[in-house]
Amino acid sequence: MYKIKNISKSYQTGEKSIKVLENLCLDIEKGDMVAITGKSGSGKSTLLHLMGLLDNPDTGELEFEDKPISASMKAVESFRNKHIGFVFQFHYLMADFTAVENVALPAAIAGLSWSKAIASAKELLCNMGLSDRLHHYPNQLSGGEQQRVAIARALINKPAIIIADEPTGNLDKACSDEIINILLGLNSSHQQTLILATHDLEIASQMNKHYVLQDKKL
Amino acid sequence: MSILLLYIKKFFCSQRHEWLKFDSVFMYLGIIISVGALVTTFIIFEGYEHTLKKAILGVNSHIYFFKPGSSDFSEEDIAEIGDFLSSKKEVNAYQSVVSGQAVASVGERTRGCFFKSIDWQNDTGVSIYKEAIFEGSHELQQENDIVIGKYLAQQLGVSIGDEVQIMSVSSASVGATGIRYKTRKMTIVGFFYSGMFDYDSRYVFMNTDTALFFTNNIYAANLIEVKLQPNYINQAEYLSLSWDKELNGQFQVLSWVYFNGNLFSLLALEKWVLTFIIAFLIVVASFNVITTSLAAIIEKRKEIGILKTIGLSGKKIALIFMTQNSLMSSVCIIAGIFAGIAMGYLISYQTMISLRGEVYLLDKIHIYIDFWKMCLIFAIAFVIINISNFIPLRQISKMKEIDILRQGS
Repeated sequence: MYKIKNISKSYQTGEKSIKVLENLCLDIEKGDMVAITGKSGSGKSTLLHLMGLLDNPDTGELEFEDKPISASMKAVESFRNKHIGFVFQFHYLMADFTAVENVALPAAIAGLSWSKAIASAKELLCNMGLSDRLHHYPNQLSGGEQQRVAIARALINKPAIIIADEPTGNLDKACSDEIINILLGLNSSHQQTLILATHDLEIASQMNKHYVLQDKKL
Repeated sequence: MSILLLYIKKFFCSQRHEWLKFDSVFMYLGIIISVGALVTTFIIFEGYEHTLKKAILGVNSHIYFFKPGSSDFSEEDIAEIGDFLSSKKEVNAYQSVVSGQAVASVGERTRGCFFKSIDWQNDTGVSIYKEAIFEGSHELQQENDIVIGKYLAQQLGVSIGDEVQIMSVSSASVGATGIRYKTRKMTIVGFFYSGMFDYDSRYVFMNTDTALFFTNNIYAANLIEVKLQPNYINQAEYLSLSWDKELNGQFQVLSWVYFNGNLFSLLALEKWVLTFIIAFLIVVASFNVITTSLAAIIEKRKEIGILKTIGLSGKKIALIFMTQNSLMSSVCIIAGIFAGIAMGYLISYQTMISLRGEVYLLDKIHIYIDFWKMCLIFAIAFVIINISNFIPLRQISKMKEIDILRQGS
């Protein structure tokens, strides 16, 4: 479903070029739960950013449902909005928007009317146990609640792929378990593909595929 | 609701009151003060120009007929010009006038003046004589009744009911005992105030018969004044030339532009040059807009990054910022216009500083507000400020979501 073919990525630091990924290949099927682990600085986030089309590889290409993804800016924005949901280590919620508005935002950007987007967002947040937090602002929510809202925002457009970059990195054990359970539940109920970068091997063990990023390769 | 409207609503109604942030307040003040200064200057200049024009065209007329070669019109001339003017749709009213130079004196005090006949019983509408009566009456019931300018009265130290001796220099004749002037004691029944110092310190209005006495009864009138319909006032110069041609040069036809055109051209030039210079204040204020907008964009870079990540294009994000800034700058420009008008009113109503009439022609600061010119100022300020908005907005398209996200929270 989602193929990464021979991608390489390097960063320029002054006159020095640091290669982070080299001829990396990965084939992900629909409904896969993929964990990517590795040391700090091994390139996990870089790989996720490339898979999420937030960055461009130096070489190689990405294919979705056997079609190469166009590199044009507009096509990338539209693809990302429709097919990929992001969950980051930091929640990145909009401070001026309530929980339900934050979740509704990607749906509205995708073209859904605001009232319909709000209705979908309410349903999603209620399913995540946040029915009493719908109209709270991010600063009125706990860390775990903020991250659940961020997950709901990633899911609102029913993306085929959820990319989560250390989604539990800032949470305590209880909250972390709660978030992972939500992600696993979504995978089993909606067959959404989950690609997750983490340091936590216990979380990685709950996924059906586990890759270790080492020496610029998986 | 579109994303744009949603953001606008959030901008004004959010819990953080973003539009009221400390650094933004200085940006708003910069716009309000610069636009206010421009508007105050502009409406005072407009007021000066407008009042001067009103005074000049109120006391005087738009087109004047003179008899070349001599200073008198015969009854036949007046009838001929009357017939000619009656056929012209541009003419509102006309009157024949007897006028001349004189000296007014009360005891030791003597001042040069300009006497002018007025048909006070039949208000032809040619002069604002009746409405310009400042004190006393406009009615010249007795043959020797006169109305004099407010400042002429002050210079002579006279009040209503006082007598003043008028000595005409227009009818001087040489006799065996030397030069003889027509002299008569006149009674002041009213003071005239047009706002134009030159007129208020020189003009004396009297009955036609009395004016004829001072000119030795040698002619029926020495001037024919024509008031044009309001729509034709600015065509006075063209009409005067055209009528002069139609009358085969029999009479000299001159417009108000001939006598005052240079003054108004100078005033207009001065007004626009000063407006242009003060408009630079808005340019300076727009620098503040650049820095404040840049700061806002840098502060919101994470939000911008996440918006881009969830699919909102850089152009749409820039449009959100642009609309917010445009709305706020519009509100500030309108506030600046009202502040400028309020300041103009304050300056025109205050009594501490007045103009020296003998220098500035008018003795009071006036304002004049033209709605369309205020719209023009709004448009200019809006364009300048919004051009400066483009500079920080370009940063949004340069921002890469990946760079923002890599930096974490």
